[in-house]
Amino acid sequence: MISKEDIKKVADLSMINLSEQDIKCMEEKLVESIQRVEILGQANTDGVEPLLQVHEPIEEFRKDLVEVDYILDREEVLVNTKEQQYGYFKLLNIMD
Amino acid sequence: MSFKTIIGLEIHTELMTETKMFCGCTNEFGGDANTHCCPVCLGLPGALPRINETAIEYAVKSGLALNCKINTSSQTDRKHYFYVDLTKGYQTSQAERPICEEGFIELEEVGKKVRIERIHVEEDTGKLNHTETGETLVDYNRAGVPLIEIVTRPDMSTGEEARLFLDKLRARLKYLEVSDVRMEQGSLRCDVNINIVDEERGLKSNISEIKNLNSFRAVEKAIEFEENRHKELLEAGKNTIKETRRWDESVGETILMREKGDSQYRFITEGDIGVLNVDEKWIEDIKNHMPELPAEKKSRFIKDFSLPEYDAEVLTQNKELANFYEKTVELIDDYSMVSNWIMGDVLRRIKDEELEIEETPLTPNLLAELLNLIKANTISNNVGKKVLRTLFETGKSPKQIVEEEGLSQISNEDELIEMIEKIISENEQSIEDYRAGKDRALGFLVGQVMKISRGKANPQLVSEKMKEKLDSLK
Ligand SMILES: [Zn+2]
Repeated sequence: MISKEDIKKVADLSMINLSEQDIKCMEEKLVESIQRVEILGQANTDGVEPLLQVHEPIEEFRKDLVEVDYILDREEVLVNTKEQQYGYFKLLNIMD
Repeated sequence: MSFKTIIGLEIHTELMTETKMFCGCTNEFGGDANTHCCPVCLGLPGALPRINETAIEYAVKSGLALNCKINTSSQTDRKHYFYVDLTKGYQTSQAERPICEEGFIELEEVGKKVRIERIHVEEDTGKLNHTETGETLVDYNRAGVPLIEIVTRPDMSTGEEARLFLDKLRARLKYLEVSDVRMEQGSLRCDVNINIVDEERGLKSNISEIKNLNSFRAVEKAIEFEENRHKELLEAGKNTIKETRRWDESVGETILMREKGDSQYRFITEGDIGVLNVDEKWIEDIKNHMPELPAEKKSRFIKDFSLPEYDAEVLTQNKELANFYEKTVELIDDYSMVSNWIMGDVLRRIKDEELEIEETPLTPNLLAELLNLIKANTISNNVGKKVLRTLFETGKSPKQIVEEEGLSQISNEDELIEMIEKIISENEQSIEDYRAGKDRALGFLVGQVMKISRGKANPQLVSEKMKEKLDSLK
């Protein structure tokens, strides 16, 4: 069963801020959702291959050739960043 | 207390493909910052990944060379974490079903088999440059470069074994030409998982993961350091925490980076990529086109060139060196002479300079030219060594060096007899000694001739003529 601590942990890992109120509400909804999904667990899947995708389940490989047309100009790469320097994205130091 | 050390390795290797793992951006090393990027490797919304066929082929090749079982169907997963080195918020990797499993490398030297748990494909991250002024500059050229991660079972118990394993792994990957496996450039990276157990007392330390190891030597040193750290803690009745540590080369210590939580990556199946199907026919085809691996080359060298096992081992450790040997013996018909020169003066030189053979001016043609000069008695063996040194420094050909420095051996009899007569006239005592049956006197006199000829006289010829001359004086 889902506990408050589980929700806090997942929220932390996902970098989502949740208030106590949010967590309480989330707990109820998640418990309900999971109970519903768990019904699927009753189906017998012995010998059934897992299905990862409904569309095009088999990946078609790409030939190893440079596609110049898709490579962006540096101006385009950096267009949405607030700060840049020497062609790099510039951030405050995030050394851990 | 008797402790046993348990070591497992995780090795990341960049694959030498033309393009990245999931997009057609060039996989060329370096380049101006952020010029090898597209919507896919920048993680822009809506961009869809497409898997590089050659990266999959290289992963299969590596799996085969490491005795792995190849999974005909595998899948990709998203490994979530928030850090600026990847913009998507996750790394596309393989968790549940990797492409290769259950391999091994045999360490004959220590009679041990190190099992490989898995090999999976994934993408490399962008490169962070931390400036002195406290900022970080990010370059995404490396983001999305194809990687394989090789994970061993915890089957090693000393730094030396880890080193042996890595040597063999690197040689194989290099032979396969799937990666240039350079640790200094980051195309091969190794993390160590280590803990110790005291079976008698049922004690066990928690596993530490060590990162930032930039040479095989650092791997060995970090293992030794951690072994002691774990021992000391257990002996003091404490224990290690489950943690990630960083090797600091300058102080020779590992330093805590972070504590490790459980299931922190929230893996989910990558919905944008289908099942990776590698059919039997493709695997068979890759098998049929596998290059010769170190062990096979070694036995062939023993057989074809009648080399002793040790020599064959040394020559085949490194693919370039082995190729160099083979090309040289095509040009000069003396297998053991070539191997003695390569294993002696040539290897010593490249080790001293920390170079690879292909980074020096020496080529098989030049070595063959040098050895032919020696075989033709144009220069002596010792002068040959001197010529090789000059060649390494200047890149000039042996013939040119011999000519420019006037090193060719004097085999002109008249010239030699003149020198011999000069030496005999100056060394009456030695002539007496020779007559008295002292063989050493002959050696001394020959040495004197060699000296005034500045090493250029043909020693055999001098010895022969000197003996004739002395005997005629009797
Ligand atoms: Zn790209």
